[in-house]
Amino acid sequence: MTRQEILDELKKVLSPYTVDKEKLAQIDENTDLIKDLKINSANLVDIIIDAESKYNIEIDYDSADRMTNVGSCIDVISEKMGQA
Amino acid sequence: MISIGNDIVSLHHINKQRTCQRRFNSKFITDSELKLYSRPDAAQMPFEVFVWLLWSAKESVYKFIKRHQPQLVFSPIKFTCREIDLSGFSPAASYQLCDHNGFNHVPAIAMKVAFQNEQISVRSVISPDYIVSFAALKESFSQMHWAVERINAADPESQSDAVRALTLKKLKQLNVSVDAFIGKSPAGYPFVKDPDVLLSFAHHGQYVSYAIMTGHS
Repeated sequence: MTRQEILDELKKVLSPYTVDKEKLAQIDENTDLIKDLKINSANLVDIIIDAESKYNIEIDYDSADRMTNVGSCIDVISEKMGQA
Repeated sequence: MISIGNDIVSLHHINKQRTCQRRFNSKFITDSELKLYSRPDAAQMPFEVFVWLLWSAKESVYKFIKRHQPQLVFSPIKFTCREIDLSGFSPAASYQLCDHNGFNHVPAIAMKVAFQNEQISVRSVISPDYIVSFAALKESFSQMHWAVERINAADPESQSDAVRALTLKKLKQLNVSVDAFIGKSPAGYPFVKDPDVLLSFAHHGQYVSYAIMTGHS
């Protein structure tokens, strides 16, 4: 999957936890999950679990810690999918 | 380390079934913390409440520490809950939401949360609707002002406006000089002009909460 393809799928993962759908549609690699999308921290674990299911990957603690913005989410997902 | 932390979890906004799955809760609760649930004093507490109690305690301590380590990312598995005293938990307890000072008058749960070399004390209060946790130095709890409010709209802007309005009202009552507009530091915590006043906000669903300490003990 390309980064753009992962980003498009990631929007679906983030959608249930994002109130501002317009902002979600416009996300880029620098978008911060909490500061920009206002995702409640209580939903961060949901996002990890949903991403694991969607991409059929396992996200360890250290990798999960890195998933604070869209770019780093794509980094982690790519890595776990076995892509550089 | 002088600081303050506050977190709230709305029990109407959690997925009970998902919470109880080990696949979910293992992301932030260790096996040894899980063992604490099998103690007799935990019997009255539903498992999902126990799980989110630990989450909110860790999050409140994260906010406490972040004031001094602004770059800190929340990694819940690195925070360890211990010495949890559930004797204060009362499932049927009800009490007013607002204008609390200290924790002696409510059924509060006490615990310590360890992170790096620190052990931070936490007090948590549980109602059928929410779990709210406060992190501070042990001797500061008796002076902490706190409140929970239920709001109508649950969007981020309404939550933010509501908690600021609630806090400003209290600060005025406490005679804290408030041409204070409540700002947000780059590290994400709220502050007013008076450096002796410490604030922490939290919101989730239709619940917002604040913790205030004026003057350092």
